[in-house]
Amino acid sequence: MSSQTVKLGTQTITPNVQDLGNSYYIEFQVNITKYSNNPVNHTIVVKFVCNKYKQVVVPSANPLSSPTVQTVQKTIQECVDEWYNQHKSVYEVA
Amino acid sequence: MTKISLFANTTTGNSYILASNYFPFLPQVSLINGYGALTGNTTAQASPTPKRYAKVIIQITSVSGTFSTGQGLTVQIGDGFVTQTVNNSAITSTGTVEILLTENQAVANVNGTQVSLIPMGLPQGIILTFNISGTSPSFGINAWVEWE
Repeated sequence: MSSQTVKLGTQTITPNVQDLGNSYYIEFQVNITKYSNNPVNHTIVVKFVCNKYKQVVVPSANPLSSPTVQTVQKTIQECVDEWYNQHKSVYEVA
Repeated sequence: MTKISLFANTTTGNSYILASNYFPFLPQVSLINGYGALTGNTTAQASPTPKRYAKVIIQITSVSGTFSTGQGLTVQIGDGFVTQTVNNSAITSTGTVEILLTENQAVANVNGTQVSLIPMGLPQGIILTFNISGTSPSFGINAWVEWE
């Protein structure tokens, strides 16, 4: 279990992160101000699994060569952003 | 050859694939309007035509909210005639639920714990009901059926 600071909305959170090999298990608390468009003011616990790797297209330095696809490791910030992007319609964070 | 049927969300009245973020074998599924999470009671249906077995796989990839004792996610499986509860203890963590159906057997595995179910044969329609309770709950769920 490791932890590092990431940003979510205006909050700085310190998720607990477990390395599961090809994925991360991430758990943190965050304050929310809206749930399904209704104003609320409380703290929720978030638990999710995030793929550890992503594929990125790297352009070739040679304009005559094709770009290549590389697999790179995601940051915890990227995983938390990904979770929030999937839940933007459900939650508004403080 | 093993075949796969996906569950479509029937609560919304749309043929949304029940997917929170990705399917390992169909990454483009998130482009179909199933992107998102479940916040309230939801039903979903798949229509396999199994001859030998059907294995329902339910991945709970994200859980958020706050849950008192007894609150969380409860899964029911039915064939349109009989409905039975798969997990008596509500789920509040990520994990996997698998249900194996054969002609004369029905058994579930809920996060590693085996659960006996009443045999329901090899239904041509499998209806999952997700009952969700808690404070500001949201569940990310992928579900599909592997069958032969």
